Amino acid sequence: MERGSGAVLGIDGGSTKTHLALADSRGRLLAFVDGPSTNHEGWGYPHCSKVLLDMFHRAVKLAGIKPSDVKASCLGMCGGDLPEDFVEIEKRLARPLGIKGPVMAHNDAFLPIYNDGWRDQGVGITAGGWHKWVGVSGKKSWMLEGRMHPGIRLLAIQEIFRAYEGFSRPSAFTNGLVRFTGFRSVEDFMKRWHYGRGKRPFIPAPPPQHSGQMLRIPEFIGARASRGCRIALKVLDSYARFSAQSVDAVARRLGMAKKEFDVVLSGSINAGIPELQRAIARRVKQLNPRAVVSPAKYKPIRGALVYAAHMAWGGLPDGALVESVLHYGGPR
Amino acid sequence: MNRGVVLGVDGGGSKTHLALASADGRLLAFESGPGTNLESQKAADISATLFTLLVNACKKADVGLRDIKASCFGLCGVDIREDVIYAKRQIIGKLGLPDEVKVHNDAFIGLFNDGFLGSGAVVTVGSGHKWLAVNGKREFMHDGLVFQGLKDMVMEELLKVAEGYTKASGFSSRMYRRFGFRSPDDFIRRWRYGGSRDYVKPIPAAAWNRLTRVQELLGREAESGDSVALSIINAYAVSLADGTVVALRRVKASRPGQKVIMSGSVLVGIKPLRTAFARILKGTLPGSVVVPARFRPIRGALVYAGEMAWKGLPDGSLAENVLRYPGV
Repeated sequence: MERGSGAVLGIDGGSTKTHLALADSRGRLLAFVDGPSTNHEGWGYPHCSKVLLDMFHRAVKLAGIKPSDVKASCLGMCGGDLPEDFVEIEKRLARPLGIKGPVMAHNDAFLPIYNDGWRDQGVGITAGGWHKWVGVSGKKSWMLEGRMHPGIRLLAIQEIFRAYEGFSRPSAFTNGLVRFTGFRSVEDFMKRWHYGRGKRPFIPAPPPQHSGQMLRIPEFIGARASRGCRIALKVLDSYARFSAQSVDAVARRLGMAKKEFDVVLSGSINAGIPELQRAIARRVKQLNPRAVVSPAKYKPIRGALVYAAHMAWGGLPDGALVESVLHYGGPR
Repeated sequence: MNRGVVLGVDGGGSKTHLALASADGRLLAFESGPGTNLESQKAADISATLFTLLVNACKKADVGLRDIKASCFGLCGVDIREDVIYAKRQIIGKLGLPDEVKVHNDAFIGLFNDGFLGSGAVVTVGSGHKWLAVNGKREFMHDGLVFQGLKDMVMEELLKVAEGYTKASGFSSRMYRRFGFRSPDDFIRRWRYGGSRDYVKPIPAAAWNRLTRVQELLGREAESGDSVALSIINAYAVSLADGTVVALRRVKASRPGQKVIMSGSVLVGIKPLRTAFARILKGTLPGSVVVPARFRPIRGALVYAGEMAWKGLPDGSLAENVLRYPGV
C-alpha cells in the first residue's frame, strides 16, 4: 500500500457514548462523529451494528471518501473482553461497514495505550464508571478487570459503614460524604441506601439527586484529598495500591515486569484526581521500578486512529492528529 | 395447672424453624418450612408461611393459640428498629398471638442457644455473618459490612489466580475442578461471561450448586492442612474477632470472662475456623470464653420465650436431638 492513500478508521465504543473518526495518512482528522453506546453486552450486536453504520455513513460523507477507501481500522469496544468477542466484533460490527484492510478489535480500555503515539509495550489503566488494566507487548496483550476489588466508590462508602457499625468514629470525611450524596446523616444514609432501595416498603427511596451524586463520589474524594484529608488520602492510596498490583500482574503475564514500559492513566477518575495519579506512580514504582506513569493527553479515539495508521502506513507523521476535539478538555 | 407453652421461631433466608415448648422444658412440636426473609419476601407470604407452620405445630402439641404465653421470633432481615415495628404489625400481628412477643434478628436467638445469657456476644456465620452483643439492657448488632464473607474470600482467591494476580496453587486447582471448571480461564469465562454471549456457555446448574458449597469445601481443605485454605480461614477469623470486639465494646462488655457464642452452620461446622477465631479473640480480649453453640438457634428462641413466660426453663430441658447442631 502506498503512503498517502486512503484513510483509517478509529472507533471508541463505550457504555455511554461512541466516538468514530477517520484520518488520512498525513495525520489530518477527516471526520469525527459521536453517537450512543455500542456495548454489545447491553444492546446486542444487531443494534450496535446499526448505530455504527449510521455513524460511519455520516463520517465518510464528512470526509468525502468511500467506505472502501478505509485501509485499516481499530475498534476499541466496551464488552470486547474475550478473543471470541474480537472475532465477533470484526465480523458483526466492522466488516458490515464495507471497509477494507486489517481490523484490530479489542476492548475500549486498549485504546489509551496509543493515545499519544505508538507503543510496542505498555499498560493502560482506565478508571471511570468501571476499571480495567490492559497491557501490550508486541503482539501479545492481557487484560484484567480487577473483579475482586470493590472499586473506589465503595472504598469510600465503606468508611460510612465503619462509622455506622462502630469500627471508627464519624469523621469530617464520612459526614461530608453523606451530605455530598444527598443524605442527612450517616444513619439516614444507612437507612435509605443500605436498608432501603426497594428492600423495605416502609423506607422511602433515596433523594432524586442520589444516583448522580453516587457516581461523583470520586470527585468528592479528590477534593478532600487536595485539602489533605487523611481518610481521603487513605482511600486513594488503597485504590492506587490495587491499581499498581494490577499493573504488575499484567506486566508479569506479558513478561515485561522488569523491563521499561509506559503506564498510561485514562478515564475520568485517573484523569481528575492528581493525588491519585501521584499515588499510582509511587505504588507502581515499588513493584515495577522501570515503569513510567503518565496521564493520557488525548482521548481514546486518537489511540484507535494511531493504531489503525500503524497498521496501514507504519505510523503517522510528527504533529499529526492535534485537533482539539481529540484532546481531553476539548469539545465532545 | 396448665402453665401454657412458649413459641420459638427461627426465620432464616433459606429455611424457617418453628417450635413449641412446655414449661417443664419439653419440646412439644418442631416444624420446618421455607425461608422467611423480611428483605426479599412480602409480609403476606411470610405471614402465610408462619401461619401454616404454627397451625401444624399447635395440632401436634394439642394446644391452642391462647395457650401460648410468650413468643420469640428471630427473623432474617430484622435489622433496624422500624423492621421490628413492621414485622409486629404486618406479620406477627396477623397470627393472632397473645401480646408477649419478642421480635429480633435471627442472630439474636443464637445468644440463647445453650441457655439464657445476660451479657456476652454471639457471632453467626451461615450464608452471611452477623455480630450481636448484649449487656443487660444494652444491645448492639452489626453486619460487618466492611468484611468480606468467607465465600467471597474463596472466590477472590480463584479470581486472583484466573486474572494472574497470584500463581495457581493446589488449593485453587482442586477448587476449580470441584466446581466443574477445566481451568482458571474456563472458570472466569463461564462465571463472568457465560450467558451474556450466545457463544459462551453458561455455568451448568450442577456447578452453581457446587459453588454454594464453597465454605464446606474450604473447611475440608483447611482440615487437611492446606496452607492457602488455612490463610483464608485465618484472615476471616481476624475479621470475626475484630467484629466481636467492636460489638462487645459498644455494649460496654469487653471485660475479661465474656462469653462469646459461635453460631451458624459455617462457624459451627468448620473446626479450623472455630479454633482460629477462639485463638485470635483470646489474644485480643484475654479471658474471653469462646464456645461453639451446641444447639440450634430455634432452641435459643424457645429459651428466650421461656425466660419471658416463666423466668426460665428447668435444667436439662429441651435436649432433643432435633434442636442440636449435628456433630457438635
